[in-house]
Amino acid sequence: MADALPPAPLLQVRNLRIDLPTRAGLLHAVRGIDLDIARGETLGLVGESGCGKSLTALSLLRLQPSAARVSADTLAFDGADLLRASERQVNALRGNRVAMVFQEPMTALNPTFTIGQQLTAVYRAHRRDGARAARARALELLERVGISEPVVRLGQYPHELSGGMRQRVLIAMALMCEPELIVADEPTTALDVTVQKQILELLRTLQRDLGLAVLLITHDLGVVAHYTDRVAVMYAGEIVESGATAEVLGRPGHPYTRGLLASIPRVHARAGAGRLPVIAGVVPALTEVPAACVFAPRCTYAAEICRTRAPALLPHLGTRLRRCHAPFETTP
Amino acid sequence: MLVLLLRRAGLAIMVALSVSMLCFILSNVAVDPALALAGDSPTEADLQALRERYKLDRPLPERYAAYLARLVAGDLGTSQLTGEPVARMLADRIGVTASLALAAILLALAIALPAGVAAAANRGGWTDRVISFVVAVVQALPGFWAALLLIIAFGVKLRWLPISGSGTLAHFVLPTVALSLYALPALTRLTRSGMVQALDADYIRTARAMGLPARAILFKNALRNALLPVVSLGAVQFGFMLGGSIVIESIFAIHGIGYLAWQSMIRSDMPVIQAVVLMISLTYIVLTFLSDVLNTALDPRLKRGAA
Amino acid sequence: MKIRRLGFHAGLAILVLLALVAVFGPMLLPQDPFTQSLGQRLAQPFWHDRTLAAHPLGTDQLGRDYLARIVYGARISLAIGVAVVLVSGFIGITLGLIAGYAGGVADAIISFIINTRISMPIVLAALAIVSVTGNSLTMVILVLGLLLWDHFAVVARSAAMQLRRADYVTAARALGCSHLHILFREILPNIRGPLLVIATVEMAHAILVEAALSFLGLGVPAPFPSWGLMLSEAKSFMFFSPWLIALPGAALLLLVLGINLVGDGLRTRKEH
Repeated sequence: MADALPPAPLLQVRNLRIDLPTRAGLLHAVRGIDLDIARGETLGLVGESGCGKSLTALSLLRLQPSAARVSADTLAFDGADLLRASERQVNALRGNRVAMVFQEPMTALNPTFTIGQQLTAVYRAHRRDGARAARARALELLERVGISEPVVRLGQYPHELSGGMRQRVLIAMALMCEPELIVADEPTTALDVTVQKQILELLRTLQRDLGLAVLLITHDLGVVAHYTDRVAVMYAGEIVESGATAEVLGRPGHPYTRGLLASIPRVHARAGAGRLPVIAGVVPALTEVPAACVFAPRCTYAAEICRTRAPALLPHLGTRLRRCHAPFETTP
Repeated sequence: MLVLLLRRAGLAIMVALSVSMLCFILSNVAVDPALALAGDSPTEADLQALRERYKLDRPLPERYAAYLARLVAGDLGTSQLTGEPVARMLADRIGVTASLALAAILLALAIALPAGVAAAANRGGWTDRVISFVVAVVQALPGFWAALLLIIAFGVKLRWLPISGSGTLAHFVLPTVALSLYALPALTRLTRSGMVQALDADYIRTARAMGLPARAILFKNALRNALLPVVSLGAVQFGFMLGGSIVIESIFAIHGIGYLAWQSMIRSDMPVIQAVVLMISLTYIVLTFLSDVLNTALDPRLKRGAA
Repeated sequence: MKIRRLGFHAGLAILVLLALVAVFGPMLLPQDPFTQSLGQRLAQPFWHDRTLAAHPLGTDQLGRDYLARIVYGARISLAIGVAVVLVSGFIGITLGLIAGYAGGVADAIISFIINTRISMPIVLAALAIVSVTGNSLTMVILVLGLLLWDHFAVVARSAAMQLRRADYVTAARALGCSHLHILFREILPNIRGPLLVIATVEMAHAILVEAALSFLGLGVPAPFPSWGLMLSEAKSFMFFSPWLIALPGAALLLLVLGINLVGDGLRTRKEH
């Protein structure tokens, strides 16, 4: 161990818990997850809808719904503690050093303001440079995200742009103040397939050019495979597996990950290869913390121990982590 | 958009025509005009003479057409009581009523907008509950009772303000306050619900995520979206107040259109009644139409057409 | 959320109380609202010094017992409120259902009628009509019923328009059900909620407009103790006998507030 210690992660989350009061009781939406994102790396957070990934993303910037109760052992950005920070301090980070891009570009922009007005508003909220500098920056970024005729666009209203263009504008908005981390919550799910690829390529280019760290939240393993360095797989409020993307997807160590991979339709599959495998059952809503493995009811490898003891998140094959009782070292 | 407006304008004109028809029916069919003109115990010969003189024996459609022709020429008939031309009576008094209604709607907006914003920003909290409760009480308040209470409180007990007549500006304070109470609940509720909807919108989440200051989010981003329907409603309420001012004007002895309407109704001065109803309805139709135009013109989504 | 429930129950309590007062009150009272007693004019209510035992809420300018008049006034207001809602509801729902369900020319005509009706301010139109036909209790109910139906019509129309394409309606047609059957059995029950809310709104509206009409002398005729009329009669005496306007006005406020709270409660309950 003669190498220097790796630099401290840009974002560090330990034991994040989020509870939502509902009519049926207290819903434990996120049950103790850890996340690390280093500078310049892309971490994918993947899982089905309802597993708590969006809530996790929102809670990083204290944007969760007011009814939600968030707690954690650690929530730190570049060393600064976000848990005990004041609203003003967190607001100073938002759109400035950490920026979010959301899923629905069609409704994420204010219909009564022009693109230019909305872009410059972000800049001027955090910088004292004045209107001209803000406008110049907006133009620069509109070009960078690949929007044609940026000068014209500045004066247009959101409804005059297509969905793909609006998402580019939102990415530009996120970049206005040169953030260090971008949290992208399903940024392409609501877009056409062709546009999806463009947007993801754009994100990757920007990340490389600007040295951004990205937390990419998605349910699409294909996206994860091509655009992330590391991945964390989430299920029912917990991380069940994490590690370098190539390794996790190449040799999945958790039955859920395996199931997800198996259910991706393959274009070149042989005809007559059989029905597309699905993971039976649905994600449980958690008003009680189970004593057993949450995935056991849907797991094809479940054994007796899985139904009586919840597995802990343990190291697996070096730098990976997984939460499972079953041994998967050697099987492909 | 122009096509839409033309269609609305056409509809408005047709509605205006049907209102004029109803007014005509009211004054010429529901009641025998000859009887009304004749005075005390007319004989059949008297009535017949009157009918011939005023062409009341012509078929109804003809009389209606003549009536319309007179309207367009600006002739609203003459008062049965004073013999004055009704058009002049209305023109003399419209200023008073219009200023009263305008002052009242501005006052109502000045209270309703901040109250609605405060309630929405504090949704579910104490500010919201108190404001909603006050709104509920004002909505249940009979307008004329509120006026009487205002008179007792400010006119008599405290002796701050005059309580009748329309001489000075001070004379208008209590009537304005009383009249504004009619529009206050609806405007406050609409502001609140518009703000609540706006604050729930995705673009507000974007604004928050971009670190915009809270006050800017509230007043610039959210309010701008909520304002439009409120202003439209304000225009409509203004027209509504022109009709509702009858009660207020009669209590405070303000000699406007409403007062005139009431006096003529008590004394069955048919031409005046008919003219007042028609005029106020037409104003209401025009204001509703203008409010439609306002809505269409100010919504950027409708201005340039969706992409 | 709890406050809404509280509002609804408070409103309901008020309404039940006033309904009981209206129905049973006049029977239980020793005095009647019409007997004049000029020797006992303007007696003060029990919270003042010089009260008369026989008149706990004082007397008006003609010596009539105020408690009796207030109680009787409750009967008038509630009766008018309910009657007007029945008339206007019938007119509005019928027109609205026809317009929404049949569409086409019928819809165009009825929508035009609705637009015309909306263009006339209610108090003004009511006053104008009553000044021509003369004022009586029946007349007031009829006129208000003919003027307050538009909200019913708009809601019924839009609901019928939406629901006529619903699957269960198509299924009913396929089974050979008549249009009337569909309107009454399939569509109407589905809009009960919103219609009930509108019924409360219009009931409150009717009570307030009737009070305004009576206040102006063109509503319920004297000597009936309509609260609005009582306020008008008391105007000249209000400086020295403030209870004469405090009581009827407060009664109106309470009744309308109760109705509004119930309506709001129904609206919120429906949203869940």
